[in-house]
Amino acid sequence: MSKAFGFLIFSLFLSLLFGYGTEPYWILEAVRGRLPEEALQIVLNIRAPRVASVFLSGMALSAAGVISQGIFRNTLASPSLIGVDSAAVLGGSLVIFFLPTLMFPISIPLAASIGASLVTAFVVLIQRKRFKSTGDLLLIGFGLTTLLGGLTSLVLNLSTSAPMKSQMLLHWLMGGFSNSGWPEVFYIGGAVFIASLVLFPLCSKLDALALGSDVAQTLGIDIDRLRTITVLISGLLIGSVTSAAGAVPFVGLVIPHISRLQLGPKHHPLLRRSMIHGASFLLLTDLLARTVIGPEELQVGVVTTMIGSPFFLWLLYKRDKPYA
Amino acid sequence: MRGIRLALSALGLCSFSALAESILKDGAGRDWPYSATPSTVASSFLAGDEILIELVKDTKVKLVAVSSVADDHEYSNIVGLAKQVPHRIGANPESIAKIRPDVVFLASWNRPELQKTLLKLGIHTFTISEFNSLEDIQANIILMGKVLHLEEKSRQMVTWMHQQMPQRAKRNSTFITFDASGVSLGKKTILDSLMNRLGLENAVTESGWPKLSAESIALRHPDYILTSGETRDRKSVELLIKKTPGWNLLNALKTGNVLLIPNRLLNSASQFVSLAYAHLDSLLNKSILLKNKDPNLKSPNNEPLK
Repeated sequence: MSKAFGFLIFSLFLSLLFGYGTEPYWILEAVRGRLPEEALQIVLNIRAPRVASVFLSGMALSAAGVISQGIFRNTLASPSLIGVDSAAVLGGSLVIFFLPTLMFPISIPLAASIGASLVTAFVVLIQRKRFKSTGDLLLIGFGLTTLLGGLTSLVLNLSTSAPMKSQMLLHWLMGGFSNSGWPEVFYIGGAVFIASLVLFPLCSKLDALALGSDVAQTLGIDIDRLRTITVLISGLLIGSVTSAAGAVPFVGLVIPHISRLQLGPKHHPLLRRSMIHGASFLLLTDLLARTVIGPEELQVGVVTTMIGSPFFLWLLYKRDKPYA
Repeated sequence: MRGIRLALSALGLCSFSALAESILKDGAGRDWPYSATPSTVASSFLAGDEILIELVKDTKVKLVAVSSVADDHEYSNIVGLAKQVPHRIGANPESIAKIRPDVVFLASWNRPELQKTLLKLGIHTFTISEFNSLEDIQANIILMGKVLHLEEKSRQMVTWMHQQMPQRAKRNSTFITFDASGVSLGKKTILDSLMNRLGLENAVTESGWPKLSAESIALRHPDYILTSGETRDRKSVELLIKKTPGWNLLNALKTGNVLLIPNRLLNSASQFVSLAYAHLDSLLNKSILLKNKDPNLKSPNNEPLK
């Protein structure tokens, strides 16, 4: 735990230290009180809110991944499986396609949040009323994700006659934190705070569910209620991140896997470690995204996939015990 | 006798080289060997639509189809004139095959399969590929004029463009373009070329349309921010810029040096770029051209500048 936490502090420090706008020794200048006004403005107004957003988003995505895998009892499940991020992406895409640019700062996060909330509510309602098993929930999610992805592709297809719109859509689909300011920090931070309060007490119930529905029911766990809460929290976490940064792939699926390889399947330590790893991973990938081809920047979704996938394959190859 | 033979062969070589020079190559590297004057023509991209609508006016060549973007007020400068063109075409070869124009002008971003399919159907295509400067636009107009045997008309259009866009003295000022997508127009773009003609330097020295980091934007210190928008939207545009990390630190925003230009002019890749020049020239000179109804500003099609 201390190593993971130390690595998180290290990642946080690197992210704050490096960037195109300042020399790395700016922190020494700041300590001596000689930091130029321009560098101070860059650190306070651009870098700090972005780093904070990335830090919280990494936590949010990983936490959503852990609970999704827990509730579906499937290590291949990801938070995107119930279609929440697809809905948020579609909401944002519709705004980019239909509304004038001037309305973007408010309407994109709003539409993405509405999309995420609607799909979350739909999934919760339909699984309570009609479909009771986790397998059914998985299939509903698959159907929704496919439908929403298809609609987003339709919007992208229709936008090709307007090059700037299609460019905006492509950037939105790849995810990125270039527009993150302090409002996004509070938005995502609020979601992470609420999720932490709700999720940690539920970890023991998720542990029991991992042994099977029958065992969980025997222990007096209301599985329907547990499923509803986790879907709602997952929707809140994914919706908050996607509305601020677009779709950020990979983190929610693989970070819980990596943590599980280290710690095993118990949910309390797994959730805690995944949140720490998720934050570290996203901080480092975002650092690369904004510096590696500076002064230009890559979309963070590209980097998370390019770095994370080989690393994950390497971890799987190196493991010396069967995967739990 | 030998002298006559030599003279004939020299004549043959000359005529061959003249023929080689006269064969046009399109942007896809294909020869254009057709000598007959086309009677019907179509375009699959907006810049082509805008050039052709002026080029074929009062000639025997008929423009039978333009791209569907030609009807979009946001991007098109020929919405009114395009209503007289009967058909719209897109990337679907069937839409073009149905009309069977003698020549279709394609852009380099059209899929190569479209060109292949049209050639298989016996429809001649000519690809235009360069859209990086004012000179490219002028070269495209001349090239299209050659294909349609309307060289004189195309030269007139280019001359008109030259007259509308005189080279201004250096202003020792820089500019940067703002777009909500996060990309800025850099070197080797039409707008860069246009602003240089107006005496301004681009603060973005990278080529093309780079997506610059917020920190890099904050360090550029441009004198002007140039963005798309109508004058009536100034407050909202400034608010949008203010909310974008990096941009909110620029002095140009604080001092109100935000130049607004309608999207259809900002992204123009045809002769209408001269209207963008006039619009920006007037803004830079702190006078509103439209309010003063400057008699020197004329659109090639006499469409009012909104």
